[in-house]
Amino acid sequence: MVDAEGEFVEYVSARLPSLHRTAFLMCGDAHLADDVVQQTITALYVNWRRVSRADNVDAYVHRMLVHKLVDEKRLSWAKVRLLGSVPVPERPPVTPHDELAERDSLVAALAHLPRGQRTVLVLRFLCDLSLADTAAAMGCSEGNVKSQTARALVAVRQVLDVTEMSGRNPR
Amino acid sequence: MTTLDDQRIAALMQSASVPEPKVDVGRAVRDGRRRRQRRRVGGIAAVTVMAGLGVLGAAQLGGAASRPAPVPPALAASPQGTVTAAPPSPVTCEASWLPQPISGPVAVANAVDPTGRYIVGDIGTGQEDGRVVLWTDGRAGVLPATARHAAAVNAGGIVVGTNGDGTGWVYRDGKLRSLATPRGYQAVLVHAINGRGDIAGTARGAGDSHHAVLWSANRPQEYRLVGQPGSAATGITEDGTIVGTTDQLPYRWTPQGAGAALAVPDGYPRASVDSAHGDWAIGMVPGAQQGGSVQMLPVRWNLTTGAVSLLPFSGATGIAGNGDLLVGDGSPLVVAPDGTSRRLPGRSEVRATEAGTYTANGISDDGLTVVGAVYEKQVYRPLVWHCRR
Repeated sequence: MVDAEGEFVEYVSARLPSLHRTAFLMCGDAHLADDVVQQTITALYVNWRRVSRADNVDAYVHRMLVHKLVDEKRLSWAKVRLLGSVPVPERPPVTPHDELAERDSLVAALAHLPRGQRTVLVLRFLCDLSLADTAAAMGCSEGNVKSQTARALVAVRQVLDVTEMSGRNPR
Repeated sequence: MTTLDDQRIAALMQSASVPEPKVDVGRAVRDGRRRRQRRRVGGIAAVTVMAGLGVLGAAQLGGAASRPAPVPPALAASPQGTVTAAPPSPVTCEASWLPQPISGPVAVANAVDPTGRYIVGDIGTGQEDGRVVLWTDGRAGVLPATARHAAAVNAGGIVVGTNGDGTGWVYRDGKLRSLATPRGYQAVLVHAINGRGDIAGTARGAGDSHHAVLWSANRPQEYRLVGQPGSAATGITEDGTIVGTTDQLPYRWTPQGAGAALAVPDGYPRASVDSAHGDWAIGMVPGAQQGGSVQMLPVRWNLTTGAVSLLPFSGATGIAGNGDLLVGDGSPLVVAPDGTSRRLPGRSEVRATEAGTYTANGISDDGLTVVGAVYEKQVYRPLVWHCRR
């Protein structure tokens, strides 16, 4: 068990930043991302013996993360959060002249997407999951993933291109 | 108008500024252990591990690789190899099943009282639905459903534990009562109880504030804070000596609350204490860094002499009042203070042979009763080893 636990801690510590980034980009809420990642790794610990033998541990963990996120969204309407969450401070207004602005506008663009589109984008492009793995993680068909990705890309490109244009043609 | 290619979106996602994660791997391990209905082995130690992780988390934020290199398994350099093979021992042990009054795929014996008469465990699905079971002379009884996650049982059959919401409880003579949560704190973690009914644990509040607490089974609504803020209590001996940590350093307190540092082994920055029985306490120190995590090494203190020594095992699960050390993981082993050791035998009907099939979680003060579980075919079954000298 000690060895298994060492493996768990090692795996989680290596993946923590990317798991948290994934969760944050999916939900846009720092506290929710923390909650969800915490829940995911706790569940991962409980099932580690089984999960660590899976062919693709990362895909499995992403699936857990997505499920937790969906659960959390569903539950948060009904339940009072245990830990009082402080409102996330508003992002500073975008000054569309540098790469930083573009990154921030990506976060903003994601924020405007419906949850499904947002989730596919993060899984496909940040987590580099295949169509099949994304579909499995989201519990939907590959066709659904394709169409959501296409729609999400259109929306994101619009936002980012506008940023880029205004960056090139300063008023 | 430029069209962004996929790679650019991926790059933007990887470089988008995101908040610092406030995720606690130590807590995941701790909560996961409780959820798995398994005995907590080293929560404080797990927190210590986090000290190493924090640095890693910050370092990797910039890189944000979506596919880090495969992680090699964290294996201790076979520390058990350094133990001489068990010599012919006058002690003979036999494993027996503990009866299961309710069904569930995760049924585990977690702790045994110093006399070996009382055993506590959990039975459930491994999710948040486990029931606490108290075996008295081998006969099983189930505690009320509102008692969850037993931590310890004393020689009088009094059981203590902590519910998932951070409420401590004490179960005595068929009655379940809550332990007071100290003012200013939101949750407690109850760890140990001695024969006098003194209960040791830790209160936790906002911003990871914590304080060691002492309760009495006689007056569960009263409490006494032990030591300074930043302290944590994880064990209590029969004479009332409390052990734990203060600001990540090992500590002990007299029943009256006078504190003294315990030694940290040379060359190590800190140590945690897991439990104490008789003249002995065990804990852990952070060993070598391995790919961002820290290999925790078990240590043992002699509370009479104050001496501390590193133990040549991958972990230490429990310590008996007579100094017998329980190495509970992999293949359970009991090691006497003189270094002689005995492996605990399996059950012939258990076919699984891999390391980790048997888990030992608790040991009586004479070292002759050990409790634990067998994991086979996705199912845990509770087990007790009875030994004779």
